[in-house]
Amino acid sequence: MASGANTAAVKPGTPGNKPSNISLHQIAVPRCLYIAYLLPLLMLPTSCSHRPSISREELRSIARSSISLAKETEMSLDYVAQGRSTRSFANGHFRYLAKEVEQNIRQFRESRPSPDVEQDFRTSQENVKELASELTTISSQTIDASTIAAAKQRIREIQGALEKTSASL
Amino acid sequence: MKKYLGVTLGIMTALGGFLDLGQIVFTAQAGAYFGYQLLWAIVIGTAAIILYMEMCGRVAVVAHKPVFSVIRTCLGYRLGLFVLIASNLLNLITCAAELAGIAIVVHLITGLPEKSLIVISALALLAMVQLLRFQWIERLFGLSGLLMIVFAVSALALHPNWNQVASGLLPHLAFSNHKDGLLYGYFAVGIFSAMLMEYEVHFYSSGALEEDWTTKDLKENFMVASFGSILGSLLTVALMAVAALVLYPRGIFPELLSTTILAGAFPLGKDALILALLGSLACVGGAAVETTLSGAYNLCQFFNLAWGKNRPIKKVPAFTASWMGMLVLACVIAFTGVSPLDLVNVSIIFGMVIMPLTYYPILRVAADQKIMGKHVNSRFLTTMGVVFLVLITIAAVTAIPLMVVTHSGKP
Repeated sequence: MASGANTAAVKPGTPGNKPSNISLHQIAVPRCLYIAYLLPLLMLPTSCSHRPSISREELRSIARSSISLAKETEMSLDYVAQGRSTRSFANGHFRYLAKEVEQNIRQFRESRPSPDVEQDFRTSQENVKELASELTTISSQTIDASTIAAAKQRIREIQGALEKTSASL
Repeated sequence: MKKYLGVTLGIMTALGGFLDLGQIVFTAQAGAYFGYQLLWAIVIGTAAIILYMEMCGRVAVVAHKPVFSVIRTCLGYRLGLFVLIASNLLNLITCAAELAGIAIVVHLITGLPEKSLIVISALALLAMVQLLRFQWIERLFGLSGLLMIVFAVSALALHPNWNQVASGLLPHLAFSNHKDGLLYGYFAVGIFSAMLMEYEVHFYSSGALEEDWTTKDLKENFMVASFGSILGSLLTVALMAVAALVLYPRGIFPELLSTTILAGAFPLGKDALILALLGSLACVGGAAVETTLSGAYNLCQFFNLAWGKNRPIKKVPAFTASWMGMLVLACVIAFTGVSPLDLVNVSIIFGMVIMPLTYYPILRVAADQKIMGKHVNSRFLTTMGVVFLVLITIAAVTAIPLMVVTHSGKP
């Protein structure tokens, strides 16, 4: 075990000029403590390794996330429609939602489906792409009552399709 | 008046820890997925941070030893250095995430481009930390963070079911499936961890010395630690309640800071949205300052170098270079476009892993009669300290496995 330094009392303005007369106990840290910390850390590389195929559970998780984002878009549109948001907030928020959906699309793009979920994979991918495109449109245009009503309708349809796919998984 | 304003150290410390970027979203996610069922984790975390924050302040005042001086003396050079490197890495990535968070909030307020705002935010913080005295930094961020009260007003306006709230004060043990049980564990550990983030005690104990506290201020130390933490905790509860009332019934799992802010202002008008944005800005900004300064405090205290925010730059060159360097590096990391929430998730969970190595030395010194004299821990405090240390250690051991199996809390 490394020996502890007898550090002096440290106070702003007087660093190291007061040698400590306090003798603190040296604590022997058992080897098992190091191992207890290292073991979980060693688990990380396995969890971060590249997974080329998307399992049923992963697909369900992406679908759930996309459904949540669709519901959130609908709630945000209502909020904007009631005149309770600022323009900057609304535009920024829809842009962030679009970016979040883009991440789900990237997950689809960077992986391939496991054979048992191939059809659901393709359908979900299409639905998520539609959601992203809708959000991009919302975030890039002036939001008024008619835009909101039309956007809400389309978002609801996409959400319904995603829920249908998710239920079949 | 000065004494009352001293409480802002506790408020800024607690808000910067409890309501930083990650914790705002993390708590909202817990509320959106589990309703009020994780309130107990906030209560335990609050009790633990009050206990340890008070100990840190007392040790700093009585033994003239801030946290990293204690860690080095207790753990020895090698293990102490490991804790220093790990703590400062966490400070750096948390600071980078907070800078990105500031840019997000300012973007939502002004619509200006986010990338430029990262640089502008870093420069603004640099100027603020450089120009303001320590006391004014804590007053600015501590008091403006109180705007987060808008979340509590929203929660009350939505008429929570108080029976359900009360039932959340006890851990929930029955789950419909195994995955939900693991997610529940992950969020419990994450909430507990975030309330005890190391930079809070680094900042608090250094702040006590920055403010020249003496043993006469020990009563105030307890008040500052308790009041700040309880206030931060109540706002965290409000955040969870808002998520439970707005997002949970709609089946929305928030993954964005803007969603949480919107939920916080949901039942109220446009003014509430602006207040929620400004409150979040203050908390996230406060956390960025806390982590920046903590990094410099840790380094200087460990290597016994001159430090102090209120001292002239020429007298504390290493300290000044450290916090400025920390801010610049954090700005570079944030500018790369890495997701701030991913950064904070990592910092919360890895922060948990090294937490026992921060809190054990504090407990050890605070309970040492030779060092603390008549200000030594009472038997009750030491017992509670040991209980919380056991909980911290259990959480530390389970943190990374839970992060792995839940894919960082993905439902």
